[in-house]
Amino acid sequence: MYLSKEQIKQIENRVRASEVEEGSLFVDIVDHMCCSIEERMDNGNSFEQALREVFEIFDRKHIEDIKIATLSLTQNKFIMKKRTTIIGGIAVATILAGVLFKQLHLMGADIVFGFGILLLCFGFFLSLMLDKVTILTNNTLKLASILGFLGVSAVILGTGLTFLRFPIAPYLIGFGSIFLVLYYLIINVVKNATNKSK
Amino acid sequence: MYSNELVRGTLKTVILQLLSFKDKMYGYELSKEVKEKTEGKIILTEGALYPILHKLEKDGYVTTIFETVGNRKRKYYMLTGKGKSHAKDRKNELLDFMQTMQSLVDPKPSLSSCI
Repeated sequence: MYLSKEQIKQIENRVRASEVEEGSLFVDIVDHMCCSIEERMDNGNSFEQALREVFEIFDRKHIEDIKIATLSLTQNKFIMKKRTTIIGGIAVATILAGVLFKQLHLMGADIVFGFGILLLCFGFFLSLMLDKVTILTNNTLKLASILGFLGVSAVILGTGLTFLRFPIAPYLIGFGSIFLVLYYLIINVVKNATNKSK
Repeated sequence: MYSNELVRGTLKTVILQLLSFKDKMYGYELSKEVKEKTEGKIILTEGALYPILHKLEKDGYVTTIFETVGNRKRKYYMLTGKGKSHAKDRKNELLDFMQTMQSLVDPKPSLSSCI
């Protein structure tokens, strides 16, 4: 006995409510729950009764636990986060050192400041973006993360280069802002679509 | 039922072995097979099964295909060539470990100790 489309939709909504993105793990969990329900129905239970029993086992926390256990085993999240934090810390320290050098009129202040800005953009933000993209299963959200990275990096780089009086700086800020607007538009469209499906 | 502490380290090997017996298997089938073969002494929970399957997939030991069953998608797991040889290695390691454990916890008296 196989479940109908309407019955499967109830199960999919439960999995979606636990913020499991549609993809490989989503298919696994939905199929597992469907099989559990079908087995109970084959043993004489009604769909409603079987659904209730399976939902008691697969509550929101249980599904989230499966998701977190899968992500932490496959993504090695802790190491990625630590790496990102270290790069970010070094970048901020370098920028502050550059500002301090400038205040004290020391030589090489612009170079230190510029290096810090580059490290922040192409070290910290790139690492942060990679952390996020490897976890996401939704391609639209992956694209949004890449646009967000490009936007933030361009704006920060542009702002940093403004202080160093580079003529390209305003263009970078302009392009960065466009990317950030696109990022927020995509994120909002995806959020609205998810809320509607719930 | 055995304690989680005993079972935890062997689950990957168990899953690899079960996959080596068949062409392809899906998650629920694997958990049912473990329950039936061990008469309920080992329960492969979803919280343990899917992280291991996804890690095996990421490491290239298993490959997957999606098929439509009834009105939904089902993901089947299959061992790759690398996975087959890994399954063999893990099995040998486990058998060796079991022998070592037996000699530790239930040593048979040797002839020399009797004389």
